Amino acid sequence: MPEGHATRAATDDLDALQKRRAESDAADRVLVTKAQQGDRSALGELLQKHGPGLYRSVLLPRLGNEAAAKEALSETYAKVVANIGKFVWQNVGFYPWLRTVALRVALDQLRAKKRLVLFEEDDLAREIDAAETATPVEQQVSDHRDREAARAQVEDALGRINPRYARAIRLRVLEERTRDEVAAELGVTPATFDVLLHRAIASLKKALGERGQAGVASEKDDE
Amino acid sequence: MSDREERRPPRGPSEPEEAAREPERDLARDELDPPPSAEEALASRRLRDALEDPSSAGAGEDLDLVSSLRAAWSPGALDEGVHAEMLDDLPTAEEIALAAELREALDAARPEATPELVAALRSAWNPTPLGADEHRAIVGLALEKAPLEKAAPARQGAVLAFAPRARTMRLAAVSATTVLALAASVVVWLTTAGPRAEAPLARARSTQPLFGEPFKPGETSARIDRIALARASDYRDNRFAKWGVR
Repeated sequence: MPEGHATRAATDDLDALQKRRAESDAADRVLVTKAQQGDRSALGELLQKHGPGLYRSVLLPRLGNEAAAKEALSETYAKVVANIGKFVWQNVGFYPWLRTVALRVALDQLRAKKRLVLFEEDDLAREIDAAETATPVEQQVSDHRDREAARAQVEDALGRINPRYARAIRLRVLEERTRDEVAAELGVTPATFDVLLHRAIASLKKALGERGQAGVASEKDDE
Repeated sequence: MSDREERRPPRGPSEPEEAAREPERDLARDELDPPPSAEEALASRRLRDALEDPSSAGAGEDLDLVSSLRAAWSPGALDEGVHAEMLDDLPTAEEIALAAELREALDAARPEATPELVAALRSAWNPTPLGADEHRAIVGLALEKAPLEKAAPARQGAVLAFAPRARTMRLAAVSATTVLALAASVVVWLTTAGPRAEAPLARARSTQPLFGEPFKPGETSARIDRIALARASDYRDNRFAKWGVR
């Protein structure tokens, strides 16, 4: 494709994206206004529209399991219902506000329940802080960024352990390939692979635990 | 010594005869052992290097063959350190049991049996979407709990059914309007004169407190960075306050 055509196509895509976002925001604004006047169905529509993305891109990756993510989603909705009256439309749409509320709920949950997850309290606190400075983006773009951030967190965690262990986890746990296939790829018997994977997980737990302790130590130093 | 020389029949000729045949033999040897091709020369150099320094890669199959020949002919002893490492590497009974548990959990693909860290990794790497029905139920539950809807305005027909007399109605309307107007004026006075119920917003302020010690010449960027950081922080705080999520 000639360069001029490619540029025009990119500009058209951007225009279409902006138009779609503007339409979506306009629809959301109407729903927000109705919800603030007490219209439950409007609020329900808003949550139906934005909730699934929020769950999949924000809550589940950060909280690490489905039960915790669903609990956080319920709590987020409860806060939205209670605070929708305080929400002031600021031309960045509804989703950023919803996402900030969800991140705060997730942060509270991480503080309350010490579980082994990839995201730490500090990570979420930084994200909440960043949420306020970020320019408004379409929810899809925001979802994509959140998903990329989660994957980067996984890569970071795997980078802390022996590369062979990291590879075992990547192939079996993340790519969900069969045990025999992965064992063959790593050049070991399936039985040996079981032990290898167990050790890989134990090593990752240890690495994450050390990271957590380092975080606590630096907090104490700051104090 | 070449193969051809080894195979030479022991005829035992006299020295002069032998000297006379030398050029012939050289010619024949050249024909049977032609000079090495470039590829052969390269491979032979690789093999030479690998034999001199077994850690160097490159000889490939040749070195494998050499190693297996040596291992069969004169097997070397296992290094004690390596052996100790291997012994350390042996899984304990507990490890084997835990590894089996992990394997079963991964094979079963049951969320409740999945170890916490495995679930966290998968959730971050490839989060599963929430089912539409389940999401609808969660939304429904949240909305049910909400004391959200304001009282709907009464329909005219309903009012007429219990309508008092017109005069009483007018008096009631006038009184209600007066009371409402009074209440509204009190609310306006409270919200403008008194402190706001919401979190206070950060005000514009001097940058002086940001700088405890003077900057050296040429540190203009650092100075501006510090001011920008403080302003960004104020801005975020204000946004949180306005959004009601602080």
